[in-house]
Amino acid sequence: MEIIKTIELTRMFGDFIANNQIDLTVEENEIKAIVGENGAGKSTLMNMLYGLLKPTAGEIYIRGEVVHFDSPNDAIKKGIGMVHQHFKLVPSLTIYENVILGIEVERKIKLGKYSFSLPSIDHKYEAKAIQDLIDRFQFGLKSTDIVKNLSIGAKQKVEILKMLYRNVDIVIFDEPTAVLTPQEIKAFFVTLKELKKQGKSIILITHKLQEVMEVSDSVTVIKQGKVIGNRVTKETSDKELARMMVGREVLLNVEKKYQDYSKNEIVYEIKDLTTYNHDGIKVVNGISFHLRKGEILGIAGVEGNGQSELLDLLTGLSQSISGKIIFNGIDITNKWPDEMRTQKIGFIPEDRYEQGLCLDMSIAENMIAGHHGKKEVCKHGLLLTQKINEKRDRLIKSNDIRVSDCEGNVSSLSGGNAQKIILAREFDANPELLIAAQPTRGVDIGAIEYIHKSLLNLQAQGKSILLISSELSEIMSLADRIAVIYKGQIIGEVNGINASREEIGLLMAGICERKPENEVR
Amino acid sequence: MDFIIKIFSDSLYFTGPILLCTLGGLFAYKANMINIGLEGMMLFGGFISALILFFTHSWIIAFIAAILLAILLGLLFSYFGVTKKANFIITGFAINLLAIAVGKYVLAALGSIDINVISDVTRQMAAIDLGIIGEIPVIGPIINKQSFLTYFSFILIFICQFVLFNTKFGTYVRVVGESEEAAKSIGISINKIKYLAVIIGALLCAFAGYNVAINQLASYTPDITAGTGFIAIAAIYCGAGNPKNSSLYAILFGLSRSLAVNLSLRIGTIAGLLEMIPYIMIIIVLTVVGIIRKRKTLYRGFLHE
Repeated sequence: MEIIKTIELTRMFGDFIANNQIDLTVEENEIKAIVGENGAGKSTLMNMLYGLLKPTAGEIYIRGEVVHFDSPNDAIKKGIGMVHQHFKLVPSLTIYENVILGIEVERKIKLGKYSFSLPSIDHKYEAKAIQDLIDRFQFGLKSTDIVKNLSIGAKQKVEILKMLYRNVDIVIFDEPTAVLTPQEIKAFFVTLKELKKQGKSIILITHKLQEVMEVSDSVTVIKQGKVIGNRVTKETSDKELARMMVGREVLLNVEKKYQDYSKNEIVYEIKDLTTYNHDGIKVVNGISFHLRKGEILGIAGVEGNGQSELLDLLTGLSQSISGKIIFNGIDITNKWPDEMRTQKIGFIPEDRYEQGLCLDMSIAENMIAGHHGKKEVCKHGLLLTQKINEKRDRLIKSNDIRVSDCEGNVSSLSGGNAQKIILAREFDANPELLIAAQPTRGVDIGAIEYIHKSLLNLQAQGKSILLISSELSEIMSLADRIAVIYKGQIIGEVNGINASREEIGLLMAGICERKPENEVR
Repeated sequence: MDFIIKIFSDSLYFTGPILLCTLGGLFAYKANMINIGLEGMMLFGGFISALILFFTHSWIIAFIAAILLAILLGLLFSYFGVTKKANFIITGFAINLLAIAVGKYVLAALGSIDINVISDVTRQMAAIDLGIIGEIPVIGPIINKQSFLTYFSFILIFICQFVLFNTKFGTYVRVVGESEEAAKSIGISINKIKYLAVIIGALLCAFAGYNVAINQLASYTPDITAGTGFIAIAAIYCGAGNPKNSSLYAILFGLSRSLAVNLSLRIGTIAGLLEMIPYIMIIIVLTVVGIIRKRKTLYRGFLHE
């Protein structure tokens, strides 16, 4: 039976058509995967199903009945729940407060046969009710724990609990595995199958095609706001899905030639680097590694294990309390970013809009950001507009950046094209070392392919690359050596060529057998 | 000894209005809307209550007028700051400037330098005699003979603490301030919560204005607030919006104002300098709080939280 059916569902933002006459059918008790590139309109579609956005035109039917949602509450009442990619949790509250948020239980007093509600929240009752729910689904959490102290996997369970507590029978998951370790992903699939067994219907939004193949019953591919096709999972392949998403053949994994770099000179060395965060916790705790000429070192790990803080240290955004960074024999510990740039270190920051680009400035200005003092674009403290524009045009052309208006602001570009601007800028400065963090986060498959090829090209020119990424497949297909970071420490290192997902996954979860020979360093 | 008792007694006297503004403003602060218009809202409250009392001779009507105007100001501020998403710093400043201008205009129209309502303020309104409690040595004379609103402001600390942490509304205020996305995803009306938070602030500021203009001074001039609303903002910031902590800072600022007044009465000619004490105190406290918060961070430049 069809549990959800949309007919010619359309949503416009101004002139832009985000969803164009979408017909989607979800059968009862199936796991439906919806795939598409970033910006294809998956989120818009889900937000309409969940009542966060109102359709411009078209109808939504739930169990054959037409519905109009004004808010997520209406959707929940009809049995639709959503687990968002970016968790919508309140960090300072406890698990039970988060689960029960919006439907708090208030203390009651009884006078004879009348009972009155007091305006005071019954914390004790709430904590117990949620603990019961946790135990019933065997989630292994404590309802009174504060959410900000939880691991990502646990936070996701809290999001699922939120929906289970509200008795929904259709659960939408938006990119649920983006931030999980391989083991957590496995555990998550078990949860999914358990939910299915209990009669829930599931919509899975993702761009990881192996996962679609592994767990879903049927697939709908969306491209540029339109449904490109529907497939039964058993009768399709990830290659076919990728071709449908992008509209051409794509390499899912770039080809890499592995070499032995162990004889090359060390260009970049980190010794015992340590720093505190705002709360006085050692978030980077005695990290050491080195990078040889022409080598790509990948740093894998579950997000939130100190990668961001390590990156801030390496790029001069924060200060270390001990340890050293040595580049080509020069001590550059705690130098500022511009000093590092003059040493020929390039950066691809993890958040391109926060640290990599200035959204309200023009493409040309962003193309020289960080290099704006160089002679080629700046004379006597004045910027040479013509030279800068020439540089912009050259880089736009050589990097195939799709811009509608080259005088426009960066904010008008898609994620992939914005990332290409950073890439173009950093590569053009001809760095000896490139520190690339999450280089393909939130960009489409076509751009991923381009970025990966560019990185390998840079390596082929004998440059070294430090690649920090939470996307394990990215690290595995690019890095020569893979170091795994866990709770602010490098917990282990494996060779890129014969690394296995399981081995790295265990390290990412903090499980390692320390062999005696590893101690020698 | 009498002098010390006087200083502490006056501290309570000055703390009352600061506390009211602080506790009012912290709801908006917790909902991630810094209400810079506390000062103007308080001044409006003092102005309207003195004006209405002057013409009607009824403190009840004056009080109701202050409440109504406060709600109106709260709606105005929220309409621009929340619904229209205007910059609420500018909106707040507009209210501050408007409050001064309206007061001055009406005074000019009345042809007076103040609105004197001393004949309508009874002794009970100005200072409540607590009777036997006032007889307790040392403490008695300190806490005795304050206005009702001053006593109320201290009780309000606990009420606010309860509301913020033990009621739905308080929880929602904190949730809206901490994560609008979380609030939106479970269907909390963010705008409604923000409106309410701002209106509560406006109401308590009006109480503060009433307290100063009617209970304490029995007259209105455009400078009666003397920066109380801004002092409250400093207190809210220093206490990170926690009612108990912010109140402690409010009390500290009340004490310094009391010191300024009492010391300058003793000293004479350079008395004017001492009036700077509360304001210098704020700068010092803000600096110290800032340094303590900054000390732990190794991050360079401005960090988005």
